[in-house]
Amino acid sequence: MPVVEVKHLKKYYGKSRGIEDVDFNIEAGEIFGFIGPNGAGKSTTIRTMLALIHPTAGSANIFGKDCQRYAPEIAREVGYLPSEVFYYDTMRAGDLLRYSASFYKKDCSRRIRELSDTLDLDLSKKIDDLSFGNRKKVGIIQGLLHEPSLIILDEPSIGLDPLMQQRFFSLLLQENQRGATILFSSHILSEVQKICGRVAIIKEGRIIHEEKMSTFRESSYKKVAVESATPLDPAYFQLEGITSLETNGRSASFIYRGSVNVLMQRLAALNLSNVSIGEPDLEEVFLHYYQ
Amino acid sequence: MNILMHELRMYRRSTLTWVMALAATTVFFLAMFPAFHRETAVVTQLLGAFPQLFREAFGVSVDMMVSVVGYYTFLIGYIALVGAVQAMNLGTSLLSREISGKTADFLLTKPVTRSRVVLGKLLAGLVILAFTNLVFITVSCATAFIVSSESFDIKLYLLLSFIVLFMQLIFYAIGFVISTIARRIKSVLPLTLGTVFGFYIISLFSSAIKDDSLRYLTPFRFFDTAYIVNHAAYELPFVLLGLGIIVVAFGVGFVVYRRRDIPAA
Repeated sequence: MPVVEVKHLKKYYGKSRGIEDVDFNIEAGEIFGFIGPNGAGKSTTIRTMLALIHPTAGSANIFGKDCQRYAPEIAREVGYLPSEVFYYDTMRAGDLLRYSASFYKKDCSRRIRELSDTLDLDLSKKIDDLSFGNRKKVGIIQGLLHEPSLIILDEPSIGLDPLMQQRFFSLLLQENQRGATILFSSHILSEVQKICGRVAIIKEGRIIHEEKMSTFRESSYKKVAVESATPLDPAYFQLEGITSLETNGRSASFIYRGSVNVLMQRLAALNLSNVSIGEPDLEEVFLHYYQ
Repeated sequence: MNILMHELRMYRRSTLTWVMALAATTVFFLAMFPAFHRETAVVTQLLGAFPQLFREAFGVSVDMMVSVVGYYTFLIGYIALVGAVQAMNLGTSLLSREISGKTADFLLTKPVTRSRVVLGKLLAGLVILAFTNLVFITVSCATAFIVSSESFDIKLYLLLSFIVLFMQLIFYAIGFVISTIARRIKSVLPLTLGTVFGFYIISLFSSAIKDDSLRYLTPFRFFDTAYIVNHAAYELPFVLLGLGIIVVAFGVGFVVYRRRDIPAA
C-alpha cells in the first residue's frame, strides 16, 4: 500500500486555480521529489494533504486514510516543515519545541536535545531573536522530534547555509534509512537531484512528468556542445531526441536522448573545431518543462 | 489542555495589564464618591445645568449621589465599556492571531482536531475573563465598603458588578465568531474599538430618544440599572437574548472553523 495516494486532486480558490488535477503515489521508504516553478501548485497540494485547506475535487490518502477525515490521526506520524517558518515570537526556542512535543503522546526531550546539538541551535534564545536560518532549524527540529514516518518538506532548504544544508540532508537520509518516507518539494532541481529517488514535475496545477532518478541517470541523456569553423544552421539539428537547442553563430548546445551512433553520424558531417559531450544535470533536462 | 495552558501563558502579560487598568479605574472613580456625597447640593445644582437630553443619554441622574449603589449605577456602564473592549479584543485575537502571525500551519498540522484547538482557546479566554471579574469584583466591593460611610445593599452591588462579566461574555462571543468567519484580520484593535463603540453609540442614541425597541440592538442596554435597582433582578428577556447571542456565536464559530481554509503564509 502506498504511503501517499493523491487522486485527481483539484483546488480552486474561488475562481483562481490552486491545482487542476494532481495525481501521484509515494511508496513506503521513498524520497519523492516534487518539483515545479513557483505558483505551479506544490504548496496547494501539500496544504491539502495536511488538511489545512479542503479540496474542490479529488482526494488524498495518507497511510491509506483520507487526509481530510482522519487528519489528526494521520498527523501523529507526519512531520511537516513549511517553506517559511513562523512561530510565537515571545517564546524561547526550547519552550516552542516542548509545546510542539506536547501534542504527541511520547517523550521527545532526548530527541530535541540530539537534534539541536546536530544543528547547533541555542534553545534558550527567544524566537524573535533568532536569525532566519536559526528559525529554520527550529522548524526542522519541530518537524522531526516525534520521529514521523512521513516527512513533508516544502522548499526546506531556503535560508540554510551550505554547511547546514548538508547536515540537514544527511539528517533526512538518516531518517529515510530508519524507514521514513519523504516528500520533498522544491523548485531547485539540483537539491532534488542530490537526495530524491523519484521525481514528479508539476506545472500549472498538473503533474506533467514522473521519473525515477535511476532511470534518469541510466538513460542516455547527453549534454552536447559543439563549435564549428563555419556558421551553423539550426535546422541541421532537427533530429529526434534533441531538446533545449541553442545555436549562436558558430556554436550550438543541446540535450540529446537517443542512440549515440545516430548523433555521432550527424555531427561527423560538420566541420567541427571543438566538441564536448557530458552528463547533463536534472535542471538542464527538465528546463523545457518549465518554459 | 496543552493549548489552554499555552494560551494562558501567551496572554499573561496583556491580561494583567487589563485587570490592573480595570481595577485602578474602578478604585479611582469610587474614591471620588465621598466628595460627591458630601457636596450633594452643589453637584445637584451643577447637573441641573446640563440639558436633560444629555443627562439621559449618559445616564446621569441627580439622586445617584445619595448612596454608593446609586453612584455605582452610573459608573458601571463605563467599566462595562472598558471590559467589553478587553473581551472582544481577546475573543477576536485568540484564533485570528494564529493566522495573522502565520503560526496556524504549525498548530493545525499537529495531531489535534480543529474543534479541540477552538475549545482550548475558548476555555483559555473564559479563564482569563473569569479571573478579570474575580479581581474586579473583589476590588470593587472592598473599595465600596471603604468609601461608603453607611451600609449598602451588597446583593444589589453584586448584581450591578456582574453586568461587566455578562457584557464581556457577549462581546467575547461576538469577537470569536468574527474571527472564525473573517479570512484574515490584520489588526484586531481597530475592529474591536469600532464594534464596541458602534454599539455604545447606539445605546447613547436610544437612551436619549427613549426608544425601548432599540434596546434589543445593543448589549449596552440589555442591563437597565434603574430596573435592577428597583427590582433587585435582571430583566429576563434580555438575559435570555444575551445568552442566545453567546450560544449561537460559539456554535457558529465552531462549525465555521472546522470547515474553513487556512490561508497560506
